[in-house]
Amino acid sequence: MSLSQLATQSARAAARLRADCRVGPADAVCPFDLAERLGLLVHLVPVPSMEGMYAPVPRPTILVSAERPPGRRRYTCGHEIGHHVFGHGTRLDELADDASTSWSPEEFVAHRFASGLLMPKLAVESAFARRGLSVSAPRAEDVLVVAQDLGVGYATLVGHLERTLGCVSSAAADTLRKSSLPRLRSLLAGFKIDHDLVVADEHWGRRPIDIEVGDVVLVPRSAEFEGDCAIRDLNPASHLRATAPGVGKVVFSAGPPIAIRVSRREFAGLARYRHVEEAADDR
Amino acid sequence: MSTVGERLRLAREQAGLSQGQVARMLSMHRPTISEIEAGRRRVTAEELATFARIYEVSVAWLSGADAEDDDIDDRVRLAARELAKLKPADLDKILNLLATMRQPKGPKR
Repeated sequence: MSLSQLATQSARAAARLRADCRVGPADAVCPFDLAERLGLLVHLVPVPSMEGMYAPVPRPTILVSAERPPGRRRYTCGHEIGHHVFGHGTRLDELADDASTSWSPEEFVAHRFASGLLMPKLAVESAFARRGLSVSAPRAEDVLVVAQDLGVGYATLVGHLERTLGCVSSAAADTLRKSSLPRLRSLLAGFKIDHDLVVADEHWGRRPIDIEVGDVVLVPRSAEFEGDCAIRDLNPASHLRATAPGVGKVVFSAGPPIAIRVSRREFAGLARYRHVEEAADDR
Repeated sequence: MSTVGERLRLAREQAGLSQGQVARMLSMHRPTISEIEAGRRRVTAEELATFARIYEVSVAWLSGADAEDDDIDDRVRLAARELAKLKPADLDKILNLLATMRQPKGPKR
């Protein structure tokens, strides 16, 4: 089978799974939630020297390194779901954006499956369009905002826009890759950001806002927050700062409330427990 | 060979839960979980099944029963050979985690 046939097969399988799980064609999706719905066990593991693993026995299980950036963890989870959907055997994965390392048809299929699951064309275009941003000539800060909306890494989205969707030229992609993410985050927020930054407003999709303790979510001044997992602050800009594991919700002036789920930094354990509140006597 | 209490502690930590969180999930007091893991309080079969469900491990592994003599190790080791960067200590962590899900030996067919 040719590369383009494999790519088409992978994208179709991802679209089918999204449809089966009632994920709208333009919606972003949390791969950890999706894996659980498929009956897969998902463990975040303190194993720094791999990206992820799929093991069909003793029971279908996905392991994802807890020590990778959040976007990378989600992408890896999507990749391992691909191995599961295609019935591949035990796979230990070391990923690169272009799947250039340890290349095999199975790795290529899982890589393209993850792209189709997390960044289908309609979802990417919609995330830019809802915000009135250009998908063909995006600024670095636009890419960062959309990458967070889709739940993938900045560099992963740049590569996807360039190589898979063909929206941006190689020269433009190279320019985007030169941006410093810490600088970009601080520029967007207007104050220094030590960890991750998410920009959320009424244009945010349906996926919960998944962040870690210490991360910041920029929200409109009119937004309301309910929960104990973050603190609301209006200065120097309107934002939420995640303070403890747990689940809250943010209500924007339009659209449905969006869940905010906070986990410990580099949480290791069953993915389903990453947002469980700490017990009072554990602190 | 580790005790049931030690395996319960390992399974809990592997699931990413604190004693307090587990106590809250099961409507127990945190010291009860602590006593169980320290081997100072017996665990009923029903409780063991509940812990196994919460931690997603097999009752057989928690009880220390012989594991199924399968080829999980070989499969994972084979897959790991593709990764030059995978450290032996990390491979051990993966194998130990998968071992906690194993089912007991069944009758030979």
